[in-house]
Amino acid sequence: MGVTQTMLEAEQRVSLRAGAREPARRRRKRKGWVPYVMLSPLVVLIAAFVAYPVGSVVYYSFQNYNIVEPFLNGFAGWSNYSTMLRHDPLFWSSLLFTGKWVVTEVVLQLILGMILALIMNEAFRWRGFTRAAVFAPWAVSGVLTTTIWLLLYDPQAGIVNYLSNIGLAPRGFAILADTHTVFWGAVLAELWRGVPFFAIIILADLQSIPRELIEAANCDGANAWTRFRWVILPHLRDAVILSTLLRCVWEFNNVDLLFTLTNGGPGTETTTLPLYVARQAIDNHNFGYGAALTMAGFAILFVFSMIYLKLSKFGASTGYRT
Amino acid sequence: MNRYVGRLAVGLAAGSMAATGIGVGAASASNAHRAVAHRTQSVTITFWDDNGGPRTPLYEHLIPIFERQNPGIKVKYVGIPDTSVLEKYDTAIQGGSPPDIAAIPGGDLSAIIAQNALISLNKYYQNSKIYGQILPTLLKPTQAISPNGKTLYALPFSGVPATLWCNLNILRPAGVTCPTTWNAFFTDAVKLTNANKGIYGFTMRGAAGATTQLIDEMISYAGLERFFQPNGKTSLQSPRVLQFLQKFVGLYKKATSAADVDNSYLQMVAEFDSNKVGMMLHNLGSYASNVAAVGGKQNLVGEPDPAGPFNHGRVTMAAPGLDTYGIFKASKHQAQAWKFEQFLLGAEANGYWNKNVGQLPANKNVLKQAWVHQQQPVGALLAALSSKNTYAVSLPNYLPQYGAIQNNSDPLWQEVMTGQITPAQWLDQLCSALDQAQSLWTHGHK
Repeated sequence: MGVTQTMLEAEQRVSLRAGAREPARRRRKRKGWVPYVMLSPLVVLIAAFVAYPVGSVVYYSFQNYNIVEPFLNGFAGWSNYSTMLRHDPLFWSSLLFTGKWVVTEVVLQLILGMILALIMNEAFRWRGFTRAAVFAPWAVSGVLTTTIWLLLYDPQAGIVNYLSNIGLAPRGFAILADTHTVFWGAVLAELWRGVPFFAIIILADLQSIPRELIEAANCDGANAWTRFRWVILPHLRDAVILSTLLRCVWEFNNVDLLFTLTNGGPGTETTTLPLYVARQAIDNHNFGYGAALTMAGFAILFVFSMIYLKLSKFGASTGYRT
Repeated sequence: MNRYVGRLAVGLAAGSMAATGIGVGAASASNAHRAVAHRTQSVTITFWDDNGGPRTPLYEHLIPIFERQNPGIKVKYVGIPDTSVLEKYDTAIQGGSPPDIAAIPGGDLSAIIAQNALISLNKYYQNSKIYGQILPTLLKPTQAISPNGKTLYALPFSGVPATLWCNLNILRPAGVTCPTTWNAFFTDAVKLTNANKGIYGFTMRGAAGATTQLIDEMISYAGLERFFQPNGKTSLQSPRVLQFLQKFVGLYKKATSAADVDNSYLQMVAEFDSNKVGMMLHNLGSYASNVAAVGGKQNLVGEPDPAGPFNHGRVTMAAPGLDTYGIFKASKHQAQAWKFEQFLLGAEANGYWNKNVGQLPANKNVLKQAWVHQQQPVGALLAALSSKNTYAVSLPNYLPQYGAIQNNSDPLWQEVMTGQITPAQWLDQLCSALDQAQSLWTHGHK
């Protein structure tokens, strides 16, 4: 009896599960191709604007493709990658410079942007005007930024000339022509344009911190540093992670400012990987090798982004200490 | 339905009667036919100018004249910045949408020919009104750029020889005349310099285009007779050339501004035109801006490259750079494009263009025009080129990689200026790249 009842119950459970599956299958059948049609515009757009260009670059990276040497064009196998990794010192020097450029720019922009955002979050007279003035450089294009800084750095007419007149700089000193100063000259110009980005993002996030949190910290006797370290900074965590990641990618791919300000020089002193890609592909017409260099940049950024997001635990709870 | 068809037939009949002038007279009918034919044959050709901006007004003047003379053809002008000409042309060719006709710098011609993008103009030229009018000194180098050395993929409209520019506002007070020898040039450049007052004897091109100019100057100083030796190696690999490079880079910061390492064409000309620099080596193309900046013709002298110490008084110079017009294979209106090219190469248009730019005209008949002898630099360069005492060395513009080789050497020249590499190292890499390209060219054509 007991065994029979158990078997019956088991059969009942099986039939119930089968009954429960039936409507789901029917539902899927009823939906048919509709979801795919709804998704198709997105799939087409991604294929056209992401998959095809990336696929083309992958394809050309395995080709000898030089438009002025068509008689040498054809399948190259891994030779472009081999040349890049084993026989091209400029690849390594440009990559090294790119790393130095990204780290310097992002760290300095973050620190200065954070300071400016904290100042502009306070209530003071002319705050609106100050905010507008701080954000203004972000609206200036890279080429225009270059023009402004080229004028400032001009040894005949720029600020250096005035510094020379009061004895603070040698006569005729050209910041962008000297291998010892060109890096910091370029960094300063890019800082001027990049700091407002961090200031905007951080200020927006600062304004979302509940006032009660700050007041509670004040009541507990927290000083400015303690408030910043234990209340404000944890709240800004995701904004900082996202903005630094974006800025790392943008600075890695920075072309406009460096191309127009130094054109990668003097020599190859300020040549980043994207500038080197442009030189190979556009000046030398060597699109195959340029594609291989582009793939290297793509792979580096992809792996970096994955690791950075994983290690920083982007999106995890802010975890205020209690 | 039938009613509509009937009305349409009547309308078409009436329209065609009106259009052809039936019932008005045979002459009117013929005129109307021509008008309709003109309307249907009217085409628009696209013309790309390789120096849009400063030279746009010249074409804005010439194009309406052409359109009045050729009512069936409209010309759409597109000005391309001269800093990115080949890049724009390459993109258009590879994208399948080049213009019908374009001005092409001689230095970029081989790269465009290598892409099989231009038509041969030999037959057009031979059957044209301008046949025999193009100066052989410019026509032959243009022909030599083609792989077989015979096909005219473009026709030259202007010659751009290397020129030593002297600003007399700086030279006169120092009691210096525009030097005619390289030794005098090196001495005068230092003599004219007063860095404390921001006055420099010379402005050096350190960035983009530096190698192009250096090649002209190396040939001139060393008195080279040919670019490649019979064994396929470049003549630039010579102790005389190295001596020149060492002397030349020695002028940096001694007779030039420290900022010259970043000088491309624009910065260099701007520096010269600021009236704080005595001498500049550039081609004839900067005449218009120079003459305006120094306060008139009386303050400006343009001379051929000075005589080198090994030339025994003879002037050696690189053959003039070329400005050419080419017609693209992809054009659907090649005949109309040729009409426009023929117009631009005619004495009237060619004279107008070169007079205003200050370059050597390509049409022989323009040489009879008064302005040619009134513009001192043009007269001096023409006299030098036609002198028996001058030797002009042809440049390897036929090498498709020639432009890229020069581009790659530019940043390395900056490294020479900043002391990171020696002039010998720079010369070695340049010669090696040239030898390799020449070898590829020679073997590819065997």
